[in-house]
Amino acid sequence: MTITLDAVEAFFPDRVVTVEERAPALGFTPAQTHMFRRVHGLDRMHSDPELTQDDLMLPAAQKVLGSTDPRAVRHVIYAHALHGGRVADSGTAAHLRDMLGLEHAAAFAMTQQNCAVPLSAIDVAGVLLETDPDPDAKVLVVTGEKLPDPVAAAITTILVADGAAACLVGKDGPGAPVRSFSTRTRGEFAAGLAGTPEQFRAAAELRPVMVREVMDEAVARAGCTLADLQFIIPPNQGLPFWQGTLDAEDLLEKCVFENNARYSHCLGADVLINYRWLLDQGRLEPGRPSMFLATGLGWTYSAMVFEGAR
Amino acid sequence: MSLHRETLSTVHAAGPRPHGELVDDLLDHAGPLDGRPDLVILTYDEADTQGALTIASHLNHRTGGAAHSFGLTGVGPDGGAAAATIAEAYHRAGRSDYALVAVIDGGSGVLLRLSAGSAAAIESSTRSRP
Repeated sequence: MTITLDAVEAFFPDRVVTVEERAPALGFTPAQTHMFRRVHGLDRMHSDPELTQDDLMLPAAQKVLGSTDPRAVRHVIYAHALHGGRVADSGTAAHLRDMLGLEHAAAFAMTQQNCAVPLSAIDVAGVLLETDPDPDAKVLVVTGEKLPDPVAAAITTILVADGAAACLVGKDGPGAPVRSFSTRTRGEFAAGLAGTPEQFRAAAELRPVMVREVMDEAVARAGCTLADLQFIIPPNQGLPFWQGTLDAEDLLEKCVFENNARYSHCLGADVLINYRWLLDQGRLEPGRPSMFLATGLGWTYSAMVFEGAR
Repeated sequence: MSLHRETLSTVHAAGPRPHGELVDDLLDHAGPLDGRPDLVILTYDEADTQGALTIASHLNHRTGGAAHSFGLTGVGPDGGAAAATIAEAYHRAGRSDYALVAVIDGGSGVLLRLSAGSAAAIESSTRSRP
């Protein structure tokens, strides 16, 4: 049995702003604004102050369900990066399920990995499906967080924008087969943004090592090599974030970095947004492996190898 | 075969406490663990008062740092049961033999071990993991 990404959809509000419009609105200085553009590679992004959490997370979920028999959806997983009640609360997953008309499904939220959480959610969806006797059973994974400006302003390493994505996970379905998953957590950095400068520096120094470790393990488990990958799909966390790993000559050409400039960082939704973007352009070769990468404060590093849908 | 479920420790307090304190108390009361879990789940319904801290990662770190760890919320009082369902699924998929679940509820907490074998077997099977 193979776990498949049977449908992936993304959603953005219509309103688009530039770095120079968004950064000052969040209280960033001209120097920080300049850094976001020139160093991080940001340009424009979707951001709508009138948008609600429901407005953001529902459309992609509704679209991904499409004509799927609602009774086939066994679980609804809301995967959110920020924990601590700043955006989602304990009722968000059930609220989402009910608004989608999936009252029969079990709903829960996954978190505590920050922006690495979507890959773990897909992995959990996969193991839940493996134990479901119904070959048509599905799990819906939904991402997307509408941050109030004070919360967005507290994230100083990148500009957070509005974007959401949803993924319908099935087994032996028509979508992209998932070939492997690898993850590591280094909990000595659990303090995240509240950590000391020394912890921040140590985590930054360790990041290339850990990212490479999960990448190597993921391709080994998938039975391929990094050279075999068509694309490496990281989150849109800014270009400097990947120094020491994805800037290697043999990897750089495979990396999907274009959407830093187009969408900026939409927290846990980025990798699915970038996947949908590739799909829309017809660039994913059937049967050829590609890799999702995700990292999250705290720190968790994950890689997942999938193949282009045939 | 189903996982064997064992309560390692419990803590109780009158009011809400930071999740990190509760997790540390649970681990301190449990004493040294046999082996290292390969799956760590922190489940809670009320968000942590110290929300910047990633307590699932901290729990993972304190118990060997070798686990796939995450938080599970939105399942009301059934957090432990929901976590157990996921742990069982990982076990049946051949990907977990030793899950550690911390259930936080306000000022109270329970630390559960879901394991495929006896403590001695866990120690033997996990000792050589990287």
